[in-house]
Formats: sequence, C-alpha cells, structure tokens
Amino acid sequence: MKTRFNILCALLAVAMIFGIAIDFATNRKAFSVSFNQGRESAAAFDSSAEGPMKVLDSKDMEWYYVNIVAKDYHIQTDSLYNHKTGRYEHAVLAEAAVRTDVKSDAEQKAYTLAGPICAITYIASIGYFWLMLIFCIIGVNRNEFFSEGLESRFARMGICLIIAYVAQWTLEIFGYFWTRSHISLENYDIVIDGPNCYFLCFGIGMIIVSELFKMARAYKEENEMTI
Amino acid sequence: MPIIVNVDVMLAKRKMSSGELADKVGITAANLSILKTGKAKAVRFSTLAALCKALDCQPGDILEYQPGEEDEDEQ
Repeated sequence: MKTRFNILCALLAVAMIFGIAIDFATNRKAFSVSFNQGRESAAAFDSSAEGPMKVLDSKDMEWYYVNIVAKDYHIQTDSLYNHKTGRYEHAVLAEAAVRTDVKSDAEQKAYTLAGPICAITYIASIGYFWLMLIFCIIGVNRNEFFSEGLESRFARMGICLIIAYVAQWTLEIFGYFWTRSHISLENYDIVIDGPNCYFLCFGIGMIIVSELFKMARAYKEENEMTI
Repeated sequence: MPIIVNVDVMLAKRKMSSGELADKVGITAANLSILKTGKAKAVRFSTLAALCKALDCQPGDILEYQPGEEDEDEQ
C-alpha cells in the first residue's frame, strides 16, 4: 500500500512539473520578447518585407500582453494567411502583444509593486505546498497515518493553493485595470483572463481531506478506547 | 467521564489478579488497564457480560454513575 502511495505521489510531482513545463513552453516567446527582444523585434519589423511601420524607438517602449475579445465577430477586421487554402482568412484575435510607450505613472508603479509581491507570494505558497507534501510522504512512510501533524499539513497545503490562486487573480486584476486605462484597441475589448480554478478546487479538496482525516482519527481513537 | 468502572473493587473481593481477569474476559491487560483507569470511551455489551461472568457480579456492581464529574472530552 505504501509503495502504491509513493508511486502516486511521484506521479503527482511529474504531472505538476509537466504542467509547468508546458505552460513555460507555451509562453516562452512572451517571456523572451518581454525581457530581451523588445527593441530587436521592433527594429526587425521596421525593415521587414511586409512593410515597415514607423515605430518610435523609445526607452519607454515595452511589450504588453493583453487578452482581447472582438466587439463584433461579423466585422472582418483582421485576416491571416492560410497556407492550406492559399488565401487570407477572416480572423479574430484572442490575445495581442502591444508595443507602446506608455509613461510610468502612479498606476503603473502600483502594478510594478504588485507584480513582484504576487509573484513572491505565489512561489512561496507553491514551495511551502511542496514542502508539506514531502513531509506528508515521509510521515506516511513512518506509519503516522492518523497523526495531528498529517491532518494539519493537509490543511496547510490546501491553504497554500488557495493563497496561490488569490495571488494569481490579484496580479491579473491589477494588470487588467492598468492595461484598460492605458491601451484601447479598435474593434476589440480588453478582457481579463483569470487563472483556471483548479488550484482553488484542489486547495478546498485538501482542506476537505484534512477534515476527513480529523474525523477518522476521532473515530479511531474512540474505537481504540472501546473495550 | 461520569461513569466509574469499579473493577478493582470486584477484583479485590474475588481475590483475582488483573492478568487472570483479562485472560478470562478475553481482552488484553492493556485494555483492562484502560478500563480500570477510566480512560475507556465505551464498553461493548459482550465485554461487560464477560466481566460480570468472570467476576460473578451484576453490571451495577462494576459500573457507577457520578453526575458531578465532568467529562474531560466535553470540556
């Protein structure tokens, strides 16, 4: 039974690492452009065969990633070339990277401050979750199935996931309001793309498991004390 | 726990040791000790019947209710 438990915990670790790797791989372009290649991308676009645009080269120019939804799907505002059909197809964008020279203001300062705080909170929560999970695995392998420590660790793991979820949402909300106040795209509305609620569900689930263990321990103690 | 288990009194009356009683009842010495020290949460009727049979007494001779004592768990 312990072997199966350990294998399942290892699978959980693999699944989480896989999820993070997929997330990073999907967004790696966004990360690299944001951090390193802003100006180079703009310069390359200026000299591209598709026609250069007059892009201001300013230190304040930065890439901003926005989630958008078309105001009217029937209005053909964008098109993309489809190699399969050999023609330009009507397209509606869902996400855009906008390079603009929005100047720093109080709102951006608040966002700039919120970003690292939320990121640190998120990373600390996930790190503490993993630490508690490792302690749980060690405890179970030491036959401490019904100890108070195990049930409190489950509860803390659940709280960590909920805190991580709240940190993600806080960052999204800050970014959304700041973006909306500084960027407005024709034919598109800027929308908030909140994190999926798996963390919240899993966090509440862990707290439920902790309560179950607490009840099981109480019944076990009562059963042990029944002569 | 307001229920007091007076096994010691009956053991003394019957001049029996705890180990003997535990063997006759079919419980471990540890469980009998839990019973004697008042830490037990519940007693099965089968165990109570075996105790009465081994000690040749009635349940009322072993069990006593003292309403003044508060249950530690309820606190």
